[in-house]
Amino acid sequence: MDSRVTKGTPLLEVNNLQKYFPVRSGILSKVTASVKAVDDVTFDIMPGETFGLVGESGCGKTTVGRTILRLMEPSGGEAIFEGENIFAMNSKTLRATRRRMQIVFQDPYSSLNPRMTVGSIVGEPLLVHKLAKGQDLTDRVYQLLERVGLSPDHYSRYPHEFSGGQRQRIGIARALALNPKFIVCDEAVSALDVSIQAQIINLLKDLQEEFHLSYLFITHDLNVVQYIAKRIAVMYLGKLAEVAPSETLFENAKHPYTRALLSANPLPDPTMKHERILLTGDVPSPLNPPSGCRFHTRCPEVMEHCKTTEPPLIQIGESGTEHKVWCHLYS
Amino acid sequence: MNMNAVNSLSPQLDAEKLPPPETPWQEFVRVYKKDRMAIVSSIVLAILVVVGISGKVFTEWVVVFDSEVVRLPDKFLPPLSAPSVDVVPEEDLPILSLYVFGTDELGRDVFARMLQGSFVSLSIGFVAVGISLVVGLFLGGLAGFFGNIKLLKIMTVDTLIMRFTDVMLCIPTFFLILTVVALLPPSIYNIMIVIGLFGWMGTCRFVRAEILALRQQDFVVAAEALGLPKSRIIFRHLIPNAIAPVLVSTTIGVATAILTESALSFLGFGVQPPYATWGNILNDGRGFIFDAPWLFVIPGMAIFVVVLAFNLVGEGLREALNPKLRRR
Repeated sequence: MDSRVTKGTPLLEVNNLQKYFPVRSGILSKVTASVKAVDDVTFDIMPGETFGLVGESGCGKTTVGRTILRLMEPSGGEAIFEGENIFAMNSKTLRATRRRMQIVFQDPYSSLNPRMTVGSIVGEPLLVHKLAKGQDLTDRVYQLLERVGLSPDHYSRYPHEFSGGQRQRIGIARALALNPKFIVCDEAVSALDVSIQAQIINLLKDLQEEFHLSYLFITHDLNVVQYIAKRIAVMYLGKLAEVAPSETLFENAKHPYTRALLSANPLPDPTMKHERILLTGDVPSPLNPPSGCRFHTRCPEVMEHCKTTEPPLIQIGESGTEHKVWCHLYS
Repeated sequence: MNMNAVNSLSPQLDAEKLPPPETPWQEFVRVYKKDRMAIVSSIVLAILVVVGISGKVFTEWVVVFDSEVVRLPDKFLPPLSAPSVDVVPEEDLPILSLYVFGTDELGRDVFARMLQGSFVSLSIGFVAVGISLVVGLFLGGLAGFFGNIKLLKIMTVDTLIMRFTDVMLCIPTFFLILTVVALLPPSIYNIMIVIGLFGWMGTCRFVRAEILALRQQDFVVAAEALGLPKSRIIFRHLIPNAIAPVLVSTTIGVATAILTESALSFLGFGVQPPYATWGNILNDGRGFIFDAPWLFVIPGMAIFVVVLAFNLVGEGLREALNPKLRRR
């Protein structure tokens, strides 16, 4: 696919997204601290683009995905989707907007209601939004099932009768039912084994071309994200570290954290020389994140002022390229 | 090999063969059938329901078995003995001229009394548990689904309901029921209501925990993301998945309610004589343990069998309804 970033107005613009989880203690349940799960995250997604979001466990990737869809209430910032701020919507407009943005989950076992048939799982959104009923509804569901590679005989089956890959297809069919423009794939292939992963990723790519979908592809698997995403954002401890087009990121990563992450990625060729950057220590707690640059406690190239001042946003290369990094090394 | 790899990437070929379709109901029946004790217990309970209903019909509406006829010449007859035809008036003779379960200290037919008592026990069991189920489902569901709503800025709905449940649990239920029953006129309905109103706490905690756990599940989040209305999420996604374990605890609750009623009647606070219940038959027989052992063995065994059957059915249901214990 074309690796150049599509110019034009973005489909989704996320500005200074914040999500703090309050920590309560004492008899009166006073808010004594907050877990800064997501802090000041800004990015945008173009129509038809796949935007990858990577980072280690607990860095806030999933929280970003869920707050954008308002499955969690954000603590601050805005998310402009097709010109409207999702965070400012009342419940009625939000319900209407939900038709245009959907989510595919990581765990194919808990993402389907065990007491509903596949047909009613996929058909439910159409029915509730009054988009189809009766024979028309059945036909639409058959089409959707077929489109994601399931057969119409699966219509009256229950989720427990399917394998993980098939269940993920059902989840995708459900997300597609409302004909959305934007889908959050929250670790959508991480629970599957590698051969099934490939099938599902190819399916997602085909669907993207057919329906002109945009994906926010959240994952910790760098090989997967390299294959599917046009641009990739790297997150560390609730903040963005680096955003770059996929190729640039893999060839010319700037942030020390990105480099360490890339060097930890297993390569399929064992003979290839491969310099490993080992990070020491653990990820600090988001309850009390380090001052200055959040990565300074583990950064191999740490400088004195990293510990006190937050790194600014730096544009790498000539203006117009989309390579952004938040690091003092380049200022 | 290479061809296979290419083929498997085509989604259309992934439609692999599935086992024949099975609805959850069919699966439930298949798993439940494997538990022999539960099957036997279900049969026992089915018989008991029939006996209970016929008890109501044949001792009160169409009096075939009269539980109140006093035949002093025939007192303390052991089971399966014949009445003294020459002394007892003809209209007072039991059906088939046989005391199947013997007679008590007033010459009353124990079989007729047990029959009457079976309806009392069963109806108290079901109605009391029905009441506690309704209260428990309502309060537990409220705490689980709307628990985050703040009341008067001091506590949440969840805190209010759950602390009230804790308070109710702290009170020794049986003595509370004794007190209340002593203050109220001792009718069968009052006893049903009192047992029901003091037995919902377990269900309430259970339902709350189930709802809280289910709300974290991805399919409920997905339902929210699809923009489904709250009512649909509750009735289509939460309740069908929460009801199975509740049903299990309810079955066992029926056994507890029957036991509580028997204990109340035994202590003389339950349904009042001459109306017979298993508990007061047992109480009446207490004085004649050595002379007429059938007077306490029969109601005692009946209570034992019914309580055991309800517990075993509950266990069987738990096994068959819990997906984690399921084996294909």
